[in-house]
Amino acid sequence: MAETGKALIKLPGGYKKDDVIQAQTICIHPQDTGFGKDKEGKPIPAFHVTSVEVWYGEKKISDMEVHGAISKDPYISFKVRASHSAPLKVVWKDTKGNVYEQSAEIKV
Amino acid sequence: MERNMNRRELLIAAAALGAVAAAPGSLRFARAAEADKVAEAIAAITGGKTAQPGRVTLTAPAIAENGAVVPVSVEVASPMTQGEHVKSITIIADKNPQPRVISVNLTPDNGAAYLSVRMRLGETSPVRAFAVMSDGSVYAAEKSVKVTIGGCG
Repeated sequence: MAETGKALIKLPGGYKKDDVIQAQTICIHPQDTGFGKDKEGKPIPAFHVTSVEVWYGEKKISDMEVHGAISKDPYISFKVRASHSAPLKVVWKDTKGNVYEQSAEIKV
Repeated sequence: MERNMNRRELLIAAAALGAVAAAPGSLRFARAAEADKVAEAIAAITGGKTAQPGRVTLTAPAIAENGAVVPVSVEVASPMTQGEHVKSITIIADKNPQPRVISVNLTPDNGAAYLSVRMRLGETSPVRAFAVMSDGSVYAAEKSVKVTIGGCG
């Protein structure tokens, strides 16, 4: 899939300094669990996101352990306190060691 | 529904033909995870502590028509200060072959203990959310989600 690894991050508008805002992220990924089979009945090996890190400026504020039970093209939403102007970066890693990232600017 | 009654036979036939991939994604899950697998997953999060009710709000549909995409949100009541915050949130689906769905480590910079995801459910199952607090206490919430495979069950 050519688009695998394309990541998006969306922040709301109209927030003020120190507001807690909701960030929404998606990474295009097949999320094969390792339990599935292809058309010939052969098992499809596991290929899914294993971890997500959230960086706010220079600081890692959150990290996640992700399993195959997260749906295809994982959607993950979390909150962050907009305490200062800095990029909010989300880093995705998968079972094949691929790293995908995307960031959005928090401006206060 | 006659078709529904024969689903098992249909599946066996489909498997014999090697056409399982043609079935809805949610059917790809093997049947029933063992209860001890769930207990093991829970113990890994709680460190053996008993989870208390309260503080955790788990939002999930009572009936999920498509087990491949089930929206689940977890919110935990906490001031999220350095001294008192939620350290982690974990979602577990008992009947999935791999019960652990996602774990999130949080810091006070998150401002709120919140997590929303779209997850898979292989079949009707309890979905649980665990929150580990900065003082080590554990809170949990549970909701049963009915999965209607193919949207006609």
